[in-house]
Amino acid sequence: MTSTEKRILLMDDSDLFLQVSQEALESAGYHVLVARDLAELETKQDDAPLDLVLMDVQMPEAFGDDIAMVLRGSRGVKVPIYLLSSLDEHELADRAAEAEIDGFISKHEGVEELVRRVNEIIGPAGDAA
Amino acid sequence: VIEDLRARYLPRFITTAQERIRRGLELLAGTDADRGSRLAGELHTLAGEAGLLGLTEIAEHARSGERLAKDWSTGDSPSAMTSLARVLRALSRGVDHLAKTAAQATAPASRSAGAADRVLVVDDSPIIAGQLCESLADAGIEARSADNLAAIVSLVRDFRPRLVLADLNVPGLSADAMCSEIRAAAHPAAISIFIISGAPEAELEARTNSLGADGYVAKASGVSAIIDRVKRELRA
Repeated sequence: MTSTEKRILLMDDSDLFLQVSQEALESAGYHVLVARDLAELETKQDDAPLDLVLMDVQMPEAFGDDIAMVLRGSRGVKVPIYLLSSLDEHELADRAAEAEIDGFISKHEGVEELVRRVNEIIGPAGDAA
Repeated sequence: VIEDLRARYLPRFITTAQERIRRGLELLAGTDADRGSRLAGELHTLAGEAGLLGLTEIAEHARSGERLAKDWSTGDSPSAMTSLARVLRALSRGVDHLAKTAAQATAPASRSAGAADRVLVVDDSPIIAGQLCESLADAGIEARSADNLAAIVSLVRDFRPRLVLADLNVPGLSADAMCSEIRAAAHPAAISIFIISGAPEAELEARTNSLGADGYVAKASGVSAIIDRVKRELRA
């Protein structure tokens, strides 16, 4: 990893989803940390600084918007936090607003859209913030 | 990069999806108190995985199954259970068809079957394409499917079908270009092109004539009518 590389923390309970997303985002030049559960999230979050947090919503241990609320509130995470889910967009917008985070990305838009949105949110991989 | 990623992860998606559908069917037949919410969870994750890989139709079916599973978990209504079984069967057909298509893409065309026994199905829906290929196979007709021009041309050259059953509304595929490319790729062999569509018959007839296709079958007439029409054409 270089000092200007942008770092994304991605949490999801689907191994397949994590691997495809990680590979696509890393192909675009980002550094991606993945977490499958809360224990991994604790470890990876300590690997800060991060530029973006992407959080699935429906996971076995907890809802991603609840975790996001804790990250933003008591943990003081200032970087953008987005929900990443296949729930309906209205529900995602409501959950993101309730958790007081930055927004959401729909899984249904596909992997190209995921990369495009990340680029839009934190800029191209090579641009230092 | 993205196309390569999709192609590499497709086999993994197929295995994972088949496993999720199998667990879904077990939950549907089971007695666990939380089976509805667990089934909703399986279908939710499947929808996300399919959506990420651009498998829109599979993702939409999984989402509708997730909604039914949530209804079922709250009310345990018999109609939700029946609808869920139907969605899981449709998903299973769609994923099995993806698996067959992926396997055929890497396998050489059968040289033992005569061209008269082979049909190419063009449809962007893996569920419809899967159903047609399965019904053609049951009728003793070797069938393959494609949803883009490159795959169509490649299969016309290598699989050498006698007949193409083509849906007119495949996103990103011009019907005119498709018909002329099919004829060019099959040349000098003769090939029949039959249009299948949900459009009204008068429109279908006009499109068949303007495209220079050999005939049409309305999708509304059902799979068995389509298969009967194919059999008649192949015997001719």
